[in-house]
Amino acid sequence: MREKLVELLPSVYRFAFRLCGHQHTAEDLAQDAILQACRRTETSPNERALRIWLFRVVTNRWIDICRKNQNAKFDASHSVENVHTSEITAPESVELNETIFLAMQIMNRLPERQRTVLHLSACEQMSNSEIAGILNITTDAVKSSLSIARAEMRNMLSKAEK
Amino acid sequence: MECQFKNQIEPFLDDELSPSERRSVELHLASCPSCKSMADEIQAVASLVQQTSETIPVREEWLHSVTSQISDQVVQRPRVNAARYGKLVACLAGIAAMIVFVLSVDFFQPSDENTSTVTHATSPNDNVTSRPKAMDGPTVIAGDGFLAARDQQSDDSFEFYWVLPKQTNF
Repeated sequence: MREKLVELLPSVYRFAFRLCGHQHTAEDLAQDAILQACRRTETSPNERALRIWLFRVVTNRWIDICRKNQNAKFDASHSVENVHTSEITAPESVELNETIFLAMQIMNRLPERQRTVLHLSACEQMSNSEIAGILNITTDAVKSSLSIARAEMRNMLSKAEK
Repeated sequence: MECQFKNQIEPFLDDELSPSERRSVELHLASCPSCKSMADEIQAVASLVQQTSETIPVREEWLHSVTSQISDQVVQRPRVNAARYGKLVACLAGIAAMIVFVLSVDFFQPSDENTSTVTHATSPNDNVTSRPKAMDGPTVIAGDGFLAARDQQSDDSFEFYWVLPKQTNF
């Protein structure tokens, strides 16, 4: 159980960071979810179920924060500043860094739902129904948001290439 | 004119098609450059999004701090349970000890004389008439398959019955 949670820490943090765009808030969100899982889970669930549960807790917590504090919103500028594109060590790293930086900027401009749906689909390989469960929306809403987000990313990236 | 398979590309990539639909899209992609290009672009976007996620740094200090908190939580849980069960076991043991003590005082109270009378009877309802008047201790009635005890010193008379082996000697 301990090992599973430790392994999931970075992905829970990154999901939280995609939601709020702020390092300290993302750390708090991820930490709350992980420690809640520690206290709650009597038996050891499978990793996928645990991962989904953690993402759902992070999402609900972020919704609570936004409801309580009207000023709480996604911080796009902070989000881009924190990206470590220099750590990528691919042969074509300079070009790739630029593309990744651009992709990050485009992604940050997407509405929250589209951004989180795209993250869960691309980074966590979640199915549409799993994403619907995490974000508490319908599967059709997930499909629609995912389709719009993909189209927007494709358009913006192709414009940037030209 | 837009390809009729265009709407099937995303469900195909999201693995939401039936095996037969999947096969037909696969065949179509092999022959339609437009749909193939769209599928490749969507996969490229997914790969890029994945790479952007990997570039989000996770602070080492935070990781260590949360990892140690997880260890504390995981280690503490069995201890809490053990304490809870320990209290329960102690409670039950105390109650059991009290019951044994009360029973032993009533049945095995030492006396100056042989104050208890043992009468063989055929049923618990038989009157016990052979008890000497001088004796003040409890009356014990034993028969085939039952045992009765009656304290005649107090008004709160009580009776116990339970099955005994046939050859019990009192």
